[in-house]
Amino acid sequence: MIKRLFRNPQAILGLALILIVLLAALLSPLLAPHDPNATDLTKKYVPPCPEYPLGADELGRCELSRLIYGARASLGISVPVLLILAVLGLFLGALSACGGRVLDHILTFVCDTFISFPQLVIAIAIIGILGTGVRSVILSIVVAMWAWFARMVRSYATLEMGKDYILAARLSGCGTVKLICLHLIPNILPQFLVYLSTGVASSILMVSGFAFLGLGLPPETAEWGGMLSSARGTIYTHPEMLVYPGICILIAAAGFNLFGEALRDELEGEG
Amino acid sequence: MRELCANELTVSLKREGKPLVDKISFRLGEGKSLILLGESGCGKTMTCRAVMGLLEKRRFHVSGSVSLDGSELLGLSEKKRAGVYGKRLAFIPQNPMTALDPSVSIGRQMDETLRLHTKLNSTRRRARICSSLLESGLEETERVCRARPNMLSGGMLQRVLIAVALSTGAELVIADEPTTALDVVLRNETVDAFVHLREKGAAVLFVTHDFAAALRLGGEVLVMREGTVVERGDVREVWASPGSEYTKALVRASALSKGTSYADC
Repeated sequence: MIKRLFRNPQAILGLALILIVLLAALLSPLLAPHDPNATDLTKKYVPPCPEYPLGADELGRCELSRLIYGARASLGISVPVLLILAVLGLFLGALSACGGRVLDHILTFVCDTFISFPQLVIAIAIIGILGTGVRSVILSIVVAMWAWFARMVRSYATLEMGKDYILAARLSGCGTVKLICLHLIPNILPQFLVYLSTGVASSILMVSGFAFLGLGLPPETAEWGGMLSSARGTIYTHPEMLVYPGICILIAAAGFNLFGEALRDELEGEG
Repeated sequence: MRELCANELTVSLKREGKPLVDKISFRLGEGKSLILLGESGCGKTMTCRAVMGLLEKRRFHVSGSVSLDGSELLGLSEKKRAGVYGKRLAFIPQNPMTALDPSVSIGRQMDETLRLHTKLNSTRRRARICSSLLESGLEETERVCRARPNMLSGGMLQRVLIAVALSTGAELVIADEPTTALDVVLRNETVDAFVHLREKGAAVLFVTHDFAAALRLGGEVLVMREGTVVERGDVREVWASPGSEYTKALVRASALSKGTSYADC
């Protein structure tokens, strides 16, 4: 499967984009020409030049350096968030689909309750209780989004549970845990991976929403969502300040989406 | 297996009183075949599912009795049922695409079934898988074993399911419209695989709406309509001289002409 994946152009492109973002995050101190938080008001909005390849922002901070460091902050939040959401979603969704009617009703009711509130309201409430910081942001996004993931897994799992091979496995005496791990999860994983990959962009944008509201990460932190929000005021005078972080978010989201879809195709044997 | 016996088997929806299957009785012995024939919605699949104990208790009311060698099958717990199904009783559903796990290779799925129901070691399991695939008409055993279900055609998948039944030595095979989605050539090959199963001593409960498939398989037929049996007897005799108006209509509706020999079906 891995060999086939590496022959798939979509997967290679997706992986290449993810690698660019990952390398930028890992090697940011080596790649960034300046300290991302070093201000120099004499360089306010300087146009691109050899010293500042992408120019400087309203505080004279190197835009390129902030974008490179931004990969670290954005992925540092998105990856743990998605890992937690994946585990929670798969566990609760599969449990809801296989655990009997009573458990399904209870979990569906809890999910519906969470889904009925806007995600941002839940997240703001959590941050309001726990205070700002990376941990609070991660926890608030997880609490705001887990119900969507669990619901999605439940719908995939319920569809799969109606198929004859699950029935055959049950009739043959396959236990619930084995059924979930060996037959159910591998078959819902392709669709779930694609859904998960779209979550990267959602979580980056959610963090940017927090930054806009003054919640979450400190304002000086170089983070794409925060940079996008703070550049909104200069959309007519310096639109490039909005475009650069936007392109970075696009690259990250496109990388994860392309790779997720290629992976789905290969897992389903269509690739 | 000596005999599968259904006595006054009745299935109804709990919310409605009208039975979906009404007091059906039959006996099916070793090396014999019994065909449930009729139009869509006449209760064929419901009868199969009731025999298998697959109907949800909260939705359906099942009465009467179904016994395998004298042991009652209705009302068996899931654990006890697992001891019967797979090993003694195999089920071949209508759509082979959903009957096999799409993410697991055919070889691994067959191996898992054998691991659950036999005490063979891996070498002997492998040999049994290959021989049963060959017996069911699949010659490229290595390729089939490596393939995932979406890499094989509908006809090949049906034969894989038959091979599973062969490999476990199932005494009773219940097939729910296994030829519906197949063209005539594949249909005939699939029915022949069931004939082979029967010749090896398995009892075959075969559900179809296709007279041609029923004639090719041979054996006793129950012609069903609206949950009841309207006619029963040897399939070739019923086809040659149908007693009820409904059977006559079914014969007329089939693409076969009266001059068709059984070998042509």
